[in-house]
Amino acid sequence: MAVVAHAVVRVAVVEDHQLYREMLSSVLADQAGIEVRTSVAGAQAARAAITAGSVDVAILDVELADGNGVSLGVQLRRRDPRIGILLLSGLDVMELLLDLPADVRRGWSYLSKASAISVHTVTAAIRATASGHTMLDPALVAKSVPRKGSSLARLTPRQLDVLQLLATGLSNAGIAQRLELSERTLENHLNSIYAALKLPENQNSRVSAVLRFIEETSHG
Amino acid sequence: MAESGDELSQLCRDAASYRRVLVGVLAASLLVFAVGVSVQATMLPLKSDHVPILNRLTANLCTVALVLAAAWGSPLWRLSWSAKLTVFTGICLAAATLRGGLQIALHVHPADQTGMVFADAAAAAIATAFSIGVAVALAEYQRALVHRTRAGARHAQLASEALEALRTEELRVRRDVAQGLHGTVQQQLVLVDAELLKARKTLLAGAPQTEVVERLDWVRDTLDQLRERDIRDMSRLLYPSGLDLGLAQAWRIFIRQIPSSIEVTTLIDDSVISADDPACGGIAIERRLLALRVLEEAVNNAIRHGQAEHLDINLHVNSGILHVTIDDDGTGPARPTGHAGHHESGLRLLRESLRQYDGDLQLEAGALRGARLTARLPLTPSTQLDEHNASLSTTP
Repeated sequence: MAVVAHAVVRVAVVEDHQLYREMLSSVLADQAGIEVRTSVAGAQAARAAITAGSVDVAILDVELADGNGVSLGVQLRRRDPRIGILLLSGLDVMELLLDLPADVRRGWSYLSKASAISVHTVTAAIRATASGHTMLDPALVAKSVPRKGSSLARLTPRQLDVLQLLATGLSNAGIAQRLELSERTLENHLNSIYAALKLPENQNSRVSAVLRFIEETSHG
Repeated sequence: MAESGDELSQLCRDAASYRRVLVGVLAASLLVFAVGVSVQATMLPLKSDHVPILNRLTANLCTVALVLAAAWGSPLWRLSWSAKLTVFTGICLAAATLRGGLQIALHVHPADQTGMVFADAAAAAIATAFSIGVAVALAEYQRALVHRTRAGARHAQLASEALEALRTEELRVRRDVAQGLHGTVQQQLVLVDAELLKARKTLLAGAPQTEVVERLDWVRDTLDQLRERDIRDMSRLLYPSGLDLGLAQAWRIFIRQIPSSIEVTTLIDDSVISADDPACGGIAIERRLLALRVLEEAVNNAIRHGQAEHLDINLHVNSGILHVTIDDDGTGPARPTGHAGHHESGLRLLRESLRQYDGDLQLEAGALRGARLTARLPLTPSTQLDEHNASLSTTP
């Protein structure tokens, strides 16, 4: 998953609910640094409209009339390994990101339509996904509870705060600012978190940590 | 392998039927030969010998009787093809020897005409071999026909049992949803209504705003819980979340609903992700649903009935078969009570459903403590139920 070099993030919106699709496309079109290249209702239309290199991030509704956003995302990523996938769903199921095929596991984000998402959250998710990060719905992250006996449950409260903010797609500078820490202290926190979680080597630690967060928490 | 009384009596009936067809066809064929050859030799004597037809007939019929007795007495239906061939060769040789001997004894041929005797003996062997060939072919055909008919009937019965199990399951789900709607949801809505009424009265009475806000906050929390817990539970009963997306996804969604106070270790092997890759068509929805029901049943039994605090969940695919293993540290499997409780009937229904797809399910005590549930589910369509499902999915 490559970091997007464009100043403007080019997005495609795939959503079968017409009003929601038009509203989302319209709102995003007004955002500086975001350009809506494609806005379609279904998986088939998306496969036809989104060609390799045509967009940086595809915003996909999970439940489409002629398929589902997860399968579509897998197909789009195999066609264009640079594309980021942002899933939108009314189901509150960010665990969808855990079991993607190994060749397309990076660069997916998830937002819930059921939580009160704002334009700011959507644009933040688009930018995080375009930059190769994984961002989870902040409302769902806040409600998640570490499971008893898991490596997450052994983190200190401070480490857990850091991990939660990491899962919401914030950069190091953003997390440090939110927690009033220096970036160096934050990096120390991150390294100790990665060590405590015993994350697999040779993989993006940030993404692995976010996936572990989903795996070892419950809905609360 | 031990066989039940019904299976044993079925085998005996099959053997008797095979023997009747074999010996019947053999008798008809050999009698035609025996009588025909006797009549022909008497009507068209080769030389000036006038051998009475009775002598020829006696030699031939005795030979036929020997062949029929040997065929009747041999357990041919359960012999391998090589053993069958050995028996048939023996019968043919015995028939040739007996006919040759009787023809000499009954003066059909003089003892010094060995050429004629050998020719007639060889003819007897050939006629016997031909008749046995025809008789065995017909008996085997009849056996295959019976097996095919029986297999068709068995599949039809399995499909019927599966549909019955589905109907039972559907009724259970309807009852649970109705109870949920009528009970929990309605009660909560009544309480919300009462609280809103109180808030309205408080507002009209000019009470402090904080009191109204508290009541409204309570209403919001209650509605949030209703949406998060009760509506979600009922929706899951009707159609589990994530089922359309993939087996692993549906499992993960369910596992994340397990309270965080329960320790859960989950291993969903990459072989499952590969088997369910959308690029290859993925795992059929009905199989995903069945595998998910296995997980739900195991987790519910472990937590509700076994008071388990730790679950080990393992899912992998090997040689096209999905393997599920769920270990818990609870009180272990309940002893059968004779009258099926909810969890016992749930397991029975699951076993039945898995059997329709050539799968199975075992619940046993864990190695140290708790229970271990293992299930196997072939992922390749092979049963009549698959054909039934496929025909349903292609019906407009």
